[in-house]
Amino acid sequence: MAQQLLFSRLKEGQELPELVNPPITRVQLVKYAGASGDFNPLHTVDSFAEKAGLDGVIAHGMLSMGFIGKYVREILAEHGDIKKISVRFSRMAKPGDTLTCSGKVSSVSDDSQQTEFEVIVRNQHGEKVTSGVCLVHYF
Amino acid sequence: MAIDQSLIGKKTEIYQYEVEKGHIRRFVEAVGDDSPLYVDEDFAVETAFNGLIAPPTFATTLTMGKESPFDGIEGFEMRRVLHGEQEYEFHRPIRPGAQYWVQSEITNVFDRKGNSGAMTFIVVETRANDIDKQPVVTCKSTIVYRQSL
Repeated sequence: MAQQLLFSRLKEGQELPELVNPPITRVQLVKYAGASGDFNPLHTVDSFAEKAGLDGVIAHGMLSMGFIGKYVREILAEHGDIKKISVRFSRMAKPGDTLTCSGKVSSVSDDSQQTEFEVIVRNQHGEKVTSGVCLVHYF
Repeated sequence: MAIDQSLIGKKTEIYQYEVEKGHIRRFVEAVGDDSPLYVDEDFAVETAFNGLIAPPTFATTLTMGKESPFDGIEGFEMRRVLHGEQEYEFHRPIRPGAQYWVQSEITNVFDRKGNSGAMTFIVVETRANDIDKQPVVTCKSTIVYRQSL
């Protein structure tokens, strides 16, 4: 679990504690398909993924963004609100991959209690899977 | 209708969406997000949120299984689609029990030459408003359509 950080402890440029997610499983992709409503068979049916030029199913990009949501929420806990989150999906993730979230504080506004986090999700080879920014407002 | 700039402005009707507590629970279980703000009512009501909220990426469910601006586009193939970018801007939290009025629109289409050939980028904007017509979330999805597969 990533460590919770209060607004008073945030400094610009500061690294955020990492969050290592459990390895992605095929069952998780089926669950995510059901819960998100994204039934694109690229994520659940190998033969379909192969026809799309892949060597098997890939994780939903949105799952890795979900990891970012989880990461930022663990840092904020109940002390702040997520105002904006935007990401780019750079690389596919597959069942068996372990995705780790890391980040840093890119800006802090004392007046508005707002802060921006830069967040990167990497796989077990250190390759960037998903990255983006998250604007949060501390209460 | 080709997959090109002629799609700009294509939109869905405004449809209704209801946020269900059990749906949020299934969603956070799939992601592995165990924040009590999403599932523990007794906890959430004591926080500044004054009740349960949904996690940010739950907004993805607003468009799933609903009418899509891609409906009826001849030759549109899901296997060519990749998710390039995603943005959510929250005007207020998504809450279980709430009803929203949702509409999606294709707001931009442009071509890029990628490593694996011609790709068309399609930007879809989805807006959800609450019963008081107040904006809840603005979603911007950038879809990569692989023309040469």
